[in-house]
Amino acid sequence: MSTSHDDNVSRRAFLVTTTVAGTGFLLGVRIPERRRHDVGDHETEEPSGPEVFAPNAWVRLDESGDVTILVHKSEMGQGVWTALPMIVAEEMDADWRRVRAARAPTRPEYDTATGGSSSVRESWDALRRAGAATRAMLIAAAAKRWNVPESECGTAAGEVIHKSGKRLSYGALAREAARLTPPDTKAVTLKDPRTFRILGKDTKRLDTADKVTGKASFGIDVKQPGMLVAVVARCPTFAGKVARVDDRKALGVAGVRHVITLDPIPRNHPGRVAVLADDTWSAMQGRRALDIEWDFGDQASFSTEAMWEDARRRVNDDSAATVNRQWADTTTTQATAAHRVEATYELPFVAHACMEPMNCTASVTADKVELWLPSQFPEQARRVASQLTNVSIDKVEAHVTFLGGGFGRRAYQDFVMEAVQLSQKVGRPVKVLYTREDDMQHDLYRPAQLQRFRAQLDAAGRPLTWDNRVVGPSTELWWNPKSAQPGRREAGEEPPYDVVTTKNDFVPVSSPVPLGAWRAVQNGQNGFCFESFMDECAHVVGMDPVAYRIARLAGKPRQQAVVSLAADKAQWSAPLPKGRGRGIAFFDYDGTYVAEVAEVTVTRRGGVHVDRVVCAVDCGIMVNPDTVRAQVESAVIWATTAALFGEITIKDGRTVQSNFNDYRVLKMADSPVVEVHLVRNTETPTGMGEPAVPPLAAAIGNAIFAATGQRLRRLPFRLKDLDLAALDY
Amino acid sequence: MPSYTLQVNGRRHSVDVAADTPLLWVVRDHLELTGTKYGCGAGLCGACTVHLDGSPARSCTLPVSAVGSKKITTIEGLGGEKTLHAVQQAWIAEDVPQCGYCQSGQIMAAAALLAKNRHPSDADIDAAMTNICRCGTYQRMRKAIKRAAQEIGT
Repeated sequence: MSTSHDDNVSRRAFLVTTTVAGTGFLLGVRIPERRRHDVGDHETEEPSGPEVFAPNAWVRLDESGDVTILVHKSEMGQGVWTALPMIVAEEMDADWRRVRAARAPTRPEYDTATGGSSSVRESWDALRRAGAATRAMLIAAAAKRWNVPESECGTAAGEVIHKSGKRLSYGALAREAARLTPPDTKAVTLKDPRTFRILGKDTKRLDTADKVTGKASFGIDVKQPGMLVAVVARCPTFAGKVARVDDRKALGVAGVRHVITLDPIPRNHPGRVAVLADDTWSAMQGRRALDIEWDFGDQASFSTEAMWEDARRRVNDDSAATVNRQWADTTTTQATAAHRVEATYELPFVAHACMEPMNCTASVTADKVELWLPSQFPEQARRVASQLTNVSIDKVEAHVTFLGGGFGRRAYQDFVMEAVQLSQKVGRPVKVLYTREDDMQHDLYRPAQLQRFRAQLDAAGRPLTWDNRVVGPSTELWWNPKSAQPGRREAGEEPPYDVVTTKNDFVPVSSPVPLGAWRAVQNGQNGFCFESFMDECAHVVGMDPVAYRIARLAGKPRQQAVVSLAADKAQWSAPLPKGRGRGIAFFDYDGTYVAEVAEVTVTRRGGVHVDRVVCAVDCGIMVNPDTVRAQVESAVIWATTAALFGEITIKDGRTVQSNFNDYRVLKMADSPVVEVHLVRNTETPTGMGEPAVPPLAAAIGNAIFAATGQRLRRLPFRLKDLDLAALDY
Repeated sequence: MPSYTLQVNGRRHSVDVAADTPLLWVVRDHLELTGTKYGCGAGLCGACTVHLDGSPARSCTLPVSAVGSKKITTIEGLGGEKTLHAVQQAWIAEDVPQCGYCQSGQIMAAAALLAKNRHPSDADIDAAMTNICRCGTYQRMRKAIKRAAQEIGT
């Protein structure tokens, strides 16, 4: 039961922190007699008993042959709970049917930060080596028992096999292997990827069974003895304060125990009034009964409408721009410009809207802090909790639950800070829960942005110059107001094409709106702008958009191959009826190559409908191809929502949208058919959680152009932005 | 505080809560059945879907006082003691869940659909499956519903 919690469990993990240089993982993890994680079924009971073989920070093997592999990244839907154990199990040659996952402790040695599609990419080598080192120790144990050279032994699915045919199961070797000295992980032999048995095969996720029975435990499901639930009224303007609060009525609501005012903290923590109650509904009712007078602060007149006017006015103001990066391909002789292309694109603020609203449970005592939280950055949560309470960081535990969506939102600590502050004040465990409205109105949004492009193309269409100006609120200034590089996070990407000279600058626009990472971060804005502009360039030079991109990717066969694959599978050249169109877009996300063809129908009454999206992906070695497929399907729905509906507007200094009625998201009936085509190779794996997001809005916009002859340069694509009178159907 | 007797997953429970308490919070906070999720509090997303006498209901906007004697089924009570419901099995076969947060509600909605329509068309599925999934598992859910329909039909 996810609600049962054993108070007397030991939460100690004795880590002998002998970090192996270069691999970043630990040796000699000793396991307490009986250790049970206490956040419900997400974390399994670890193997108990003295005969457990724990060769390194990732693997536990017991005498029955059960293998537990610790997962150090947060499972938020992207499949790390299965993918990361698969990597260890492959090199260990484990019997996959005997493998289960358990959450690694939150400690710096594990690098628990989860984001940027980095989990597989950055853990790949260390996890393989951990698995290979484990296998080497099991072979050594068997060779010793048989009194044969190790070179005469091999392994297969949980067994060591001698060339004579003798076999010993891993479980039977656990006791002896535990007495051996772990090998140098730098020296272990890794498998040839062509011999992989587990990696590269469609593998059922290890978390599915618990997720179809309601057993999987999320942050919102945490219950601790004596816990209160807090629902917090936050000043609707981003930097406002509490002027006056009358809490008498709130305290009169049955179940309400405390009303606590929290002072503003710079950035996304305005003045707040928390209502703490025995249960969630009482806390919500208590908050409704609060009588608060807010001091809305000096940004109470801010509106996105005025911000856009400002941005559009300043786009051509060169004196306001800071140059971010410039590249020049000096090997190419400058040809004469045959075409000049200029276009400007606009993207609004968008919200994360994770299905599980933000929450955190904290228990603060004089010498200890415990957190139970759905977080992408739990190590940072420990640091923040330590700073707020002055409890030494080694006395701060962060138990990570499953995350009901992350998408970048759960990289932040606002909800953690509130839970810690409130628990400290009342001396009891406190769960802070955002309502949906809180979650939407106190998000850290993807930055709104205007991007202007100016390019000169030679007669064949090659961009000789590519001048990309980003105008908008600066994430860098939001977090670090004194920064000398306001455009550091928004501007500075080179297009993945054969551009000769690139210039990239940034014009900051003043805004009090909290800004944060949103699935794919700046790649999302760039994907839309770059790929819409590439389409415009193709049309200016009279080239087919697919042929144009393939020409611009000369010398990059993997990139060209995904463009061709998507186009072929989408029957790019097959005619479509009037009112329908296809558009293509390509993106290189840190070495993951994605091409997407969107097929849309544009009608006078219904507007834009995305019918089908054909995707081609090359992410190197696929750990679990079915998860790669699932992440592309997910990204397509996510990005279609943003392209067709996503827009947060601000009026009178506050977020206008509040729930799914006015912040529409795609439902099943609106969803396109998604086709995913995977490229198989043995290149080093790259990330998959985000890469299929960036190109999609452009693919849709390019398809709208193909269907209607009209170019929409602002997201979301709305019916009212089309000139219906000009449609020829 | 009024007292209510509820039939949940075949068992009777008595709870003392305010009359306007949504069934969602009774189930989650008082009965400690946390498989049913809070998503929007306004009946918009369906993460809180349960069955009332076999029909899908969004429990976040349903006051406990309005439940009466209707039999409540939550995700925890959907399958049998030892076996999963055909929809749960199909969800596993298609590996539907990603983050998993909305899936209890989705499964309850799908099970209710199949209980009254053994062979739903795509349009029937679209009409019945109006719950939100931010991970975008819609395509797999559709396949899983068709798979479950076939299982139930045979």
